[in-house]
Amino acid sequence: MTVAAGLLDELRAVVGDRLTTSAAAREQHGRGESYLPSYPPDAVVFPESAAEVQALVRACARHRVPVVPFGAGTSLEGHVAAVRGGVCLDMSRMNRILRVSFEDLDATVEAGVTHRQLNRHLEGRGLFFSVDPGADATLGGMAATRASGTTAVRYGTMREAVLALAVVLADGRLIRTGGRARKSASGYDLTRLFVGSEGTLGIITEVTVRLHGLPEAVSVATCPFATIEGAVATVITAVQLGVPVARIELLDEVQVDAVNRYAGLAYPVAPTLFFEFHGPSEGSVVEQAELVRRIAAGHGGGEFRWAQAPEERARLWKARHDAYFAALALRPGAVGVTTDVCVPISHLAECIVETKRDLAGSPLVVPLVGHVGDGNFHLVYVIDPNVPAELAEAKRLGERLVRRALAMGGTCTGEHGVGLGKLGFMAEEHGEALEVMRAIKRALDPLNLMNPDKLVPM
Amino acid sequence: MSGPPAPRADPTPVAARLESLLGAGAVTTAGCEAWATDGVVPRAVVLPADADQVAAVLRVCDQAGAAVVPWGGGTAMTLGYPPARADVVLRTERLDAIIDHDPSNLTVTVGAGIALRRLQEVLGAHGQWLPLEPPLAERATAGGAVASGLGGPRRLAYGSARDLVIGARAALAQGTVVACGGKTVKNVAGYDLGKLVVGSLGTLGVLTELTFRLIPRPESSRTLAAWASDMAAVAALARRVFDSALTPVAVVGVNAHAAARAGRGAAGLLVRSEGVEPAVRRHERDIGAWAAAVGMETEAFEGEAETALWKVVRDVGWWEDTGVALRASVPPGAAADLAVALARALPEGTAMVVHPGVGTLWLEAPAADAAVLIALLRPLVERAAGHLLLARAPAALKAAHEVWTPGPQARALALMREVKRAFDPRGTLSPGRFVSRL
Ligand SMILES: Cc1cc2nc3c(=O)[nH]c(=O)nc-3n(C[C@H](O)[C@H](O)[C@H](O)COP(=O)(O)OP(=O)(O)OC[C@H]3O[C@@H](n4cnc5c(N)ncnc54)[C@H](O)[C@@H]3O)c2cc1C
Repeated sequence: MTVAAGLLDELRAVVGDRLTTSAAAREQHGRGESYLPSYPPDAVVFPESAAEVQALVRACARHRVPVVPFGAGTSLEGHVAAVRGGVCLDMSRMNRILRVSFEDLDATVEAGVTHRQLNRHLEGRGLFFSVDPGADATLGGMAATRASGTTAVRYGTMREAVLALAVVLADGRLIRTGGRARKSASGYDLTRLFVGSEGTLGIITEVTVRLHGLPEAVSVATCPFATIEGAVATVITAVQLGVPVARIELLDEVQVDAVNRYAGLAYPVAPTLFFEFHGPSEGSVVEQAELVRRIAAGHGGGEFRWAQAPEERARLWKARHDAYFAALALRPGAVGVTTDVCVPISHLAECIVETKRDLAGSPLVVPLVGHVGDGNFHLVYVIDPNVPAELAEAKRLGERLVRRALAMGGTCTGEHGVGLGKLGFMAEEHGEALEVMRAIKRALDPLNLMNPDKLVPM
Repeated sequence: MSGPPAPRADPTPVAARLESLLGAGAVTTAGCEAWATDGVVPRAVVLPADADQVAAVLRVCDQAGAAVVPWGGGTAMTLGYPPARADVVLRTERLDAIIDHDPSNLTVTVGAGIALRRLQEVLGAHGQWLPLEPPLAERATAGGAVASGLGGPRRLAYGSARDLVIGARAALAQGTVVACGGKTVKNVAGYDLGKLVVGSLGTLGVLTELTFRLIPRPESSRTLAAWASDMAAVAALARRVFDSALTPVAVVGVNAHAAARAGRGAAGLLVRSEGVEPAVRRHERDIGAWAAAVGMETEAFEGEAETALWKVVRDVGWWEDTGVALRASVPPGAAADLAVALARALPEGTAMVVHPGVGTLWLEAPAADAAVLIALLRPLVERAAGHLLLARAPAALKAAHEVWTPGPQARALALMREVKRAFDPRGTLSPGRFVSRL
């Protein structure tokens, strides 16, 4: 479908020259980081205020043209694909930090502010924002995908972090949900209805998030394991004992090898846990770490390597955060197909071991990383986009993994979301609840113009 | 609630149809006064045995246009407006199974009618607990605690019901049972329906099953109380604690009248710390030193004395049957100042319990003082960008005062109506009880 010239004129009346129909921009905005083919929108606009977003949404509604919000485009399941064409709203120019409260430990930002930008702003002030997906995503996009990161085991995900939102609805009205009081405002929890709605219910223009005080003492360690079971058992025991670890991340031997090559590091090529401990004093951190070290030793863990200085810690976590790009670098020209399941942690070892066995029988290179403290892990199938058989194999393995996770009481996605890629699993996972989701979607977006064909199959 | 009119094809009285569905023993039509909600007396009280029966009851009532009020332990039935209609009270008492305790996953799945006390006993045997401590927790059910969304003193560390529930099953008005979430702590597949149901007072569905995240029981727990002559000193000490790197699990200020309930005579700050012994000791040492420096006397609580102290704090608002309870919620940084301002202005005989880290403030007073208190609080709370809940009051007072203020903005309210319609199109579940009489 092509957008009528009349609509383009109306959009230009709102944003002036902050509108493009160039093929390159449309192609890029229709893809994100996904392996899926690009579904380019007909035009990309760059609003700078909520009022502009309202005017743009109203114009699109008048012309019955879909609207696809776009943050940093780092989502992995085709979330930003303009399946039915339409207008992409790139939120990156709404990037002002509106207020930070040290008293209330919260901040309000425009939707296009990224998590790294917010943390740079907070640097040196004793506070931080805890949700840190591996890519520099926008807070609007993170709220829309209910994102999480490496510290969810201690500080939670966007579900816990978001206190309030401003949202432009399908008919152009602007509403505010939640409030700065921690006890959410009167009535049904609309804030959490929009958190994770993947742009299908409205455009988030402003996000208020909870901040945390920086811990007095921090230390970081890595520990290689003889077996992946040993690593997972260590995590489970630590979680069960209530050790307040701030981060526990698993990299399998394939991923460690990739990271070594990518960043010129020399970690032993073995399943490895990355830990971070936070505490009110050096003593409490040492105690936590010592307890975990003993647990690890009982499960075939090797030597703990410590990183104390802030730069050293940053280097170590950068290696973890770059895991995806390190995986892609294993095969120049390759693309990554990712999967992201989450299972009850009591089934985590079983799920990972069965999955690794499945992978052993496949010719593909498939590193594994996991936010294992949450029971969540990812695979990246590093494939040649020009070889259809490789994509088919990745999909086959991915489906087997999702079915395995569902059979163990898990979910088809712990953090990457549904987008287009996992749409097919929604009926299987939700049954009757899907009808309620559809009723909500129909009620809030009767013309089905807000990021249509994502998240909730209509 | 507007909606399509209910078809009334079957002339058999609802109670008789419910009886043929559940068996005679599970339906009562006598003595229903005991099951009144704010004076609205039902025509029948039913005790379904499982989720399927709950769904069947709802289907029958929905088709007959009979309003249903879910009832757990009955401890929070004073929340909300008097229902517009309450034909059938649905008691969840028999949905009391522990369906799946997975100690190594730190989760438990239970029937929504299980008494919290029994659940905690079972979990305790495994060295775990569910940090959900609503008022009168001994009598409250898991489902009631979640539906009312009332937090407890340790919410600061462990979050509220909303954070602890990771999965739920609910029977909807038209007789379907939906599942949301599950046994994983993270899930991003689809709209977060579970979070809509939490705190909805049973107006969207009847919770039949809940899955909670659990916490290992800490090695040590102690509470340090620091007593002062006025609230300003209490607030200042609270600020000192929050500015430090300490991580207490509960920090609560009480005025002298509230302290009297625990047999003490002065305003005070209660700080509870849990975890490994050295961390608990560090809390006591630091807070003790800060209190001493400003001339506050300190007292340590442990074991049963500690439990008893926190029970008093937990139950504020529910101490006296004849009282009223108000809860103010404000941004956390504003709570201590609000408490200080109020301390000077409160009518004699009003108990105040403030949770500065969370931003909530509870007041309990004789019903006669309610109007004065509401007039005093409303402007202060609204100025602080907060809101006020009249959590417990005689029905007559609720007829004269809004329960939730400020209510939702008109646009948000319109959306809430849509949500209600998506779950309960005919307005069968507790009509009129929720915010803006939804
Ligand atoms: C290397 C790498 C590592 C990653 N690691 C993680 C991780 O650890 N955890 C994790 O959760 N995810 C991770 N992701 C996925 C991705 O970063 C997250 O999904 C992120 O939240 C997307 O944010 P974004 O700003 O890029 O949104 P986009 O990709 O631009 O959009 C995502 C979705 O949100 C909608 N959207 C965007 N902005 C708005 C808005 N303002 N209002 C309404 N809807 C909006 C879009 O329409 C789309 O449906 C990773 C991705 C990569 C490439």
